Amino acid sequence: MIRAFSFYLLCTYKNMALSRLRRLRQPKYLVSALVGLAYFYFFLGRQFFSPGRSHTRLPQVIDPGFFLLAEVGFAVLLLVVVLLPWLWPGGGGGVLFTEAEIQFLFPAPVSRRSLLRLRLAKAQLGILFGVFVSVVFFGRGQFFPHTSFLLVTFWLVYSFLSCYNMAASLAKRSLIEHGVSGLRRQAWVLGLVALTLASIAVWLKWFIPVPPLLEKVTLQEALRWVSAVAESGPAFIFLWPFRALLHPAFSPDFGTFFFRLLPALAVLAVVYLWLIRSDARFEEASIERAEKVARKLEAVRTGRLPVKPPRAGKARRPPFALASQGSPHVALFWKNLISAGGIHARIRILVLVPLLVMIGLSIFDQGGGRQTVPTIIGLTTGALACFFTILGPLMVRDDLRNDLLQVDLIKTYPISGQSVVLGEVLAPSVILALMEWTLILISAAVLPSMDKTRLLPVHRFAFGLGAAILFPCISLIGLLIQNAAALLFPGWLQLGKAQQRGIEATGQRLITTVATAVLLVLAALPAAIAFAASFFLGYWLIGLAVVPMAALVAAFVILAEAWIAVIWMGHLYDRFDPSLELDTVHP
Amino acid sequence: MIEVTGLTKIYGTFAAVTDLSFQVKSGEVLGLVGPNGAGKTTTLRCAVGIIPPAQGEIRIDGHSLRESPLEAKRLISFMPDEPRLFDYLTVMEHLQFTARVYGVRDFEIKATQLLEELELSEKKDAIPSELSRGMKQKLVIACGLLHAPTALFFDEPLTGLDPIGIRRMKSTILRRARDGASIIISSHLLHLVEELCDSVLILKSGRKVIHSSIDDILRSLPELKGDTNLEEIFFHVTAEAEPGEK
Repeated sequence: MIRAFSFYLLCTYKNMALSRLRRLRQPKYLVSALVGLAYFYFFLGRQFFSPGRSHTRLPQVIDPGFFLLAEVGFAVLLLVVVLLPWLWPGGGGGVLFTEAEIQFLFPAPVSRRSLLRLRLAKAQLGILFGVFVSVVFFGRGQFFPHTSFLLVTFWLVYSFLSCYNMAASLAKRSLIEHGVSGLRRQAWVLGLVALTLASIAVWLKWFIPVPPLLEKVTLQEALRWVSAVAESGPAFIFLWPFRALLHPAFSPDFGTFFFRLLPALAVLAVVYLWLIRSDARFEEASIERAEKVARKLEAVRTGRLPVKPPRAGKARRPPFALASQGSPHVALFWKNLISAGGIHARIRILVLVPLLVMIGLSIFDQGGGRQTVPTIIGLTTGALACFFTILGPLMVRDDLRNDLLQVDLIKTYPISGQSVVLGEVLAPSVILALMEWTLILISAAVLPSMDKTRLLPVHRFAFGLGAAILFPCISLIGLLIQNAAALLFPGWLQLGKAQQRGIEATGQRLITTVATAVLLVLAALPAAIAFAASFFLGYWLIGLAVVPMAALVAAFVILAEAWIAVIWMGHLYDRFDPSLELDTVHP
Repeated sequence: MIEVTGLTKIYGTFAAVTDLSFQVKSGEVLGLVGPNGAGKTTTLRCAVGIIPPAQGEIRIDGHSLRESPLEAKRLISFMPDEPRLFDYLTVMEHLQFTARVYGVRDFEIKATQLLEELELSEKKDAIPSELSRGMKQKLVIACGLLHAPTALFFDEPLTGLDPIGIRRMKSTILRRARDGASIIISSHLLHLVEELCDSVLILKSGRKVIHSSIDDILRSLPELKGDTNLEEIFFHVTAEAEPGEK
C-alpha cells in the first residue's frame, strides 16, 4: 500500500507542479509569477539564502535565561492550542480527504490505518512550507544556537499539531458516538483547566517565593522566578510534553540536540499512536467535510465565494424602495448597495470607535494637556479618510469586479454599456464618500485650534470642506481605474470577493496595485494643476478660504474625466466578450 | 420572430459555430440538439447578446441585436441551465430588480402572480442560499417571464426541477408559444424536444446538420421507418455526418 500511496502522492505533486508551469506560457501568469517570486525573494528568501549566516553561533549577549522564558512561553501557547479543540463547539469534523480519495480509497481494500497514514503524509507538504516560513519569520534562526535545530523543532511542533488535531477530531467524534455531549465534554476540560490552575496557584503559594514587586524587579530576578515556577510542581508536569517538543531548538551543541530529540520524538510517537489506534469512525464525517471543501473550492475557482457566505434568514435590508420604472442603472446601484451591505454599520463604527477611544483616552489622560486626545483622534481620522480615498477603491469591490462573474446574466439586460458602468461604480462611490465624509467631519470637529500655526477654526472648516469635495472624486477615479482594468484585463484582476492564493496571485495583486497608483497620479494631475492655479489666484484675495473653491474647480476637472471614462468604458462593456476574456468557453 | 443569419463564432482558431442560419416564427418552438461540443450553448449565448458573433446577424422581431441591442434585448428572455442569481437579493428583490431593468409596469401584480404560479410565494423573502436548486431555477424562470418576452431561449430547462415543476415548465413553454412567443429549447433530453417542439435543429461540430419538423425529417430520410423517434433520427443523422464515416 505504501508504494501505491507514494505513487499517488508523487504523481499528484508532479502534475500539480507541471500544470502550474504550463500555465506560465500565458504571459499574465508568467509576469505575475516573476513578480510574486521577486516579492518572496526580497521579503523572505533573500535572508534565508544569503551566504554567511548558516552557522550562526549563539550570540554571547543573549542571556540563556531568555531561552527558558521563550521555551515556557511557547509551551504555554501550545498547551492552549491543545485545549482549544475540546472547548470549541461542534463535533469532530473527521479527517480531510478529497472527494476523489473518498471515491477511490474508501471502497478499496485499504485499512483505516493506511488511510490515516496517507492523510499524515499529505499534510507534510504544508508542514514543510510552514517550517520554512516560520524559520524565516524568526530571523532564520540567528538568535538560536543553530538554524537546523530550529528547523527540526518547527517540524516536530507542526507534525505534533497536525497529528493531534486529527486525533482530537476523531476522539470528539468517538465521544459523540458514545453519547458524550458537547457540554459534558467542555465541562470535563474546563474542570481539568481549573484544577491545573488551582494546583499551580497552591504550589506558588506554598513552595515558590513571592516575586519581587513589579516596579523593583530586575530581569535576573524575573527569570529566576519563572524558572522556579516552570521547573517544579504541577506547571512542570503539565508543560513537560510541550517543553520537550521545544527543547531541541535551544540546544547549545549537536550532542545535546540529539539527546533532547529523544523525548520530543517520544511525545510525537504517543500522539501518533493515539491517532492510529483511535476506534472512531471517520468515514461519514470525512465525506461531509470533503463535500463542503469541494463546494468551497469550486466556489473559489469560479470566483463566487462570498467573503462570508450569507446565512439562512439573513436577507439584507434594501437601502431604498426601488420603483419599477425609471433609469435602469439605479437598479444596479440598488443591487450593489444591498450586496455591499452594512453601510449603516460601517458609519456607526467610524463614529463610535473614535468616540469611545476619545472617552477612554480622556480618562487616562491625566495632566497631559487637554489637546492631546483630540489631536490624536483628529489626526487619525484624517489619515483614515486619506487612506480610504486612495485604497478604498481596492477594498470596496461591489461593482464590475464582482458582477463580471454574472456577466452572462447582465449582458442579456436591455441596458446600455454606459448605464451599466455608471450603475456599477455608483454604489462603491457612495459608500466610500459616506465613510470619507464621516471621518472628515470627525477630524474637523475634534482637531483643536493650533494657534501657533494660525490654523483657526474657519481654516479647519475650509480644509474640511475642500477635502469633503475632493476625496470622493479621487475615490471615483480610483474605482473607474479598477473597473476599466476589470473590463480590459479581467484575467489580470481578481474578480469576485474570494481571495486567491499563490505566487501568481500575489504578483497579480502587486502589479494591479502599482498600475492603479500610477494611473491615479496621472488622472489626478490635471485636477492638481487646476487646484493649484485656483488656489494661488484666490489666495491673494480671500486667503485660505479659497480652499473649497479650488477644490470645486479640481472636482469639476475630475468629474469631467470621470464622465469621459464612463462613456469609453461603456463602449468597452458593449464589446466585452466573456467567452474570450474570462477563460470560459461554452461550445 | 427570431432570425439568425450566417452566425459564426470563432475562439482563437477553433470555430464553435460556422455559418448557421435559421428562423423561429411567432408561436413556434424549436429544439436545438446536438452532441457535446456541437455549439448549442454558443449559439444561444450569441443569440441573446451575451457574446458577440464573429460574423452574422441576429434579429428579434425585426430588431437587429447588433444595431439596436436594447430594443432587441427588451424582447428576449434567456433561462440558462445553471441558475445565476445575486447572492444577497431576496426572491422578491430579484423580481423588483428585473422589473426596473426592463421597465415593467404593474410589477407587483405580475410578480405575485408569477410567484404563486411557480410556488415561490412562501419563499419571497429568502435569499438564494436558502433555496433549493429547483427553486432557484423557478426564480430564474419567474424573472425571465416578468417582462412578457416574445423570444424565449431555454438551455436545459428541466434540470433540477421536480416532477410537478417539470409538468408546469412544459405547460408554461407551450402557453407562451400559444400566446405568440418564439421559443428555442436547447436540450439533450430528446423526448422533451420531441414532445414540445414543432421543429428540430441538429448541430454537429458547429454546423447545421438538419433543420425541419420531425415528420419532414422522416420524409427526407426514407431509410428510416415510419415509427422512428427523434433519438433514432439523432443517431442516424449525427453518425452520418461524421467525416470519413460511411
